[in-house]
Amino acid sequence: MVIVLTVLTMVTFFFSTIAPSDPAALWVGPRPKPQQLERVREMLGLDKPIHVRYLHYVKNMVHGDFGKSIRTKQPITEELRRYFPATIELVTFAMIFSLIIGIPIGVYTAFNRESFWDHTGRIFSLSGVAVPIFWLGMMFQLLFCSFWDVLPLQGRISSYMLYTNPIDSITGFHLVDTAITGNWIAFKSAFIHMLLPAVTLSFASLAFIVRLTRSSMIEVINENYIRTARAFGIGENLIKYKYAIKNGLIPTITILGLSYTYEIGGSILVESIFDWPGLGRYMWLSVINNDYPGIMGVTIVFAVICCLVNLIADLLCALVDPRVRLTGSR
Amino acid sequence: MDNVTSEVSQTGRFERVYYYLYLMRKNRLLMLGLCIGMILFLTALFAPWIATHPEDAYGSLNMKEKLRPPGADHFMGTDNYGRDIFSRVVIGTRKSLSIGIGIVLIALIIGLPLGLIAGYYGGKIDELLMRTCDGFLSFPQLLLPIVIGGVFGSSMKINMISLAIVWWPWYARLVRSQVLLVREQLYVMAAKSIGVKDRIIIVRHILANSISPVLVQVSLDLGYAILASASLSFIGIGAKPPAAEWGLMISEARPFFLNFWWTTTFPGLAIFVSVFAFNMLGDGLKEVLDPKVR
Repeated sequence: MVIVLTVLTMVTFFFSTIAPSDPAALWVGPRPKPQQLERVREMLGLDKPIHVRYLHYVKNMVHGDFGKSIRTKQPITEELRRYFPATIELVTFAMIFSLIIGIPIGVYTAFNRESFWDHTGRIFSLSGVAVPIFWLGMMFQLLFCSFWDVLPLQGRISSYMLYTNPIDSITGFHLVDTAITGNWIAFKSAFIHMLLPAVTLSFASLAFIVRLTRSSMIEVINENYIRTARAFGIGENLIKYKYAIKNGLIPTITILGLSYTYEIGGSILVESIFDWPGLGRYMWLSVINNDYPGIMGVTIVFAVICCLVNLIADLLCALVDPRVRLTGSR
Repeated sequence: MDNVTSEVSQTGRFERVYYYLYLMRKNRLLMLGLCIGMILFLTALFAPWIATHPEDAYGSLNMKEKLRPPGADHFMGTDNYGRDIFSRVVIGTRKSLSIGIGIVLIALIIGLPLGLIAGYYGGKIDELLMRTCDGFLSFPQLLLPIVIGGVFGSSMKINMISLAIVWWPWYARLVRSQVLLVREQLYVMAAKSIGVKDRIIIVRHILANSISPVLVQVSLDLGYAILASASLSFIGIGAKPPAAEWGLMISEARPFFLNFWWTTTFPGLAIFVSVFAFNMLGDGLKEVLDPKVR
């Protein structure tokens, strides 16, 4: 993990140094004076050789300092800290949503193979991975915000909430904070703001989970131990929901980490559409404004999140599957 | 004697081909995917003749016809510059298909040989390569291309290369896992024991017997590559205006699409249909080629 992160910082740093446009010029703005450029260059440390700058950057990063954003001129660390909970909340919610919806559908279609719902589910899961999520988000906006006007268009919470029902920031996750403090009006507002982005974001992994759950359940049903259980005359429902499901869900759990990282990538698209004040939108704004320190900061935070998520997913696998725990391999 | 055996194997091969063709014809999913795929390729090929207003795809403006809803003259309406969306979608097929094919080809050229080598020789090369792949695969696929695009500025070429860079590990891993299975087969050991060169074993026995999942993956990935490059264009890295590119068209329509639904709906549908087609194609191929699923 440390190696991966080191390589990643080196790569992103290297890219930002050989970028075609000059950060100092971007900092100063259009029509810079030479003295100004010189001063900014010195301030940003651009006059020093590349390895010195890299070491400097890494040293600051370890201390939790990503430098200043070219776009907003604010310390990146602070901005990221502010945006971080929003993204985690959105992605986690989307993940939970796709599990709650995806697993039952997958299990049901596996138990009712070749039925009408199985075919519908198959078409749904094929199209789910094919639909561009940025387009899907915009179609949802058209449908639910413009055509029916039942859900808010964008943002994380209604702006007047800050005055009528201010949220005490404990964890930074609006849903959790409002639920703890019993602020149900703000909770409702946060929840309906969350719905569209989360559903959009979860769509692809939902389809993937349906498919995976279905195929692994089918595989498990045909195993010998299920046949043995049937031969012993154990009830069909008991077999299905007690014995088959336990083993059938293992592959779904193993891909949790993968889906989570996938959704983090998707958050860049979804947050930019729904104007969700999170890391993904920050990334998008940094990209279109050539804000290299910003891009690097978000990239590293994303990378750390992904590494941690993969680690947790691996531990989870070991927890649910004794085979992994005992042999150390799948 | 020699002649007879070769003839037998020849007919066997033909019969197998016919058998596969029969299976393919029987597979509705595959046929549908194949049909849409063919239509897409033909559209891309004859795009300037199919498009009703081909000049609109190359930056001609027509402010008088601004934001017209779909109608007889403009099948999919017009955008904020009065450009015919149907023509732009049709001509955009070229860009999307070519970039999709480009990404998959580059990824295949890098990933296939590396996977073969890693799987066949094993040892330290294998270890190093797989760790590299794990590193790539543990991040969101769009992350690195976004960083590269954000730093180097937007261009379709950079887009294609950076997507290929994050794509090849999938192939390397897939090929390696196949090779590990094939390597232990009797015919490979037989070839080895009579002193056939490694290079020939790899190409004639191992590659030939591990290619079918790769084919499936290629057809699936054609769709995903189109999707990924459209996403990048949507974010603002990739195609530049006034290019007719599906992702870019959606992104350009963002400020006003809530009042003019056709501006985003049709380019998005184009992306969806093409990715869906390649998905069906891949899924169908899997059923035909993989006896287990069949």
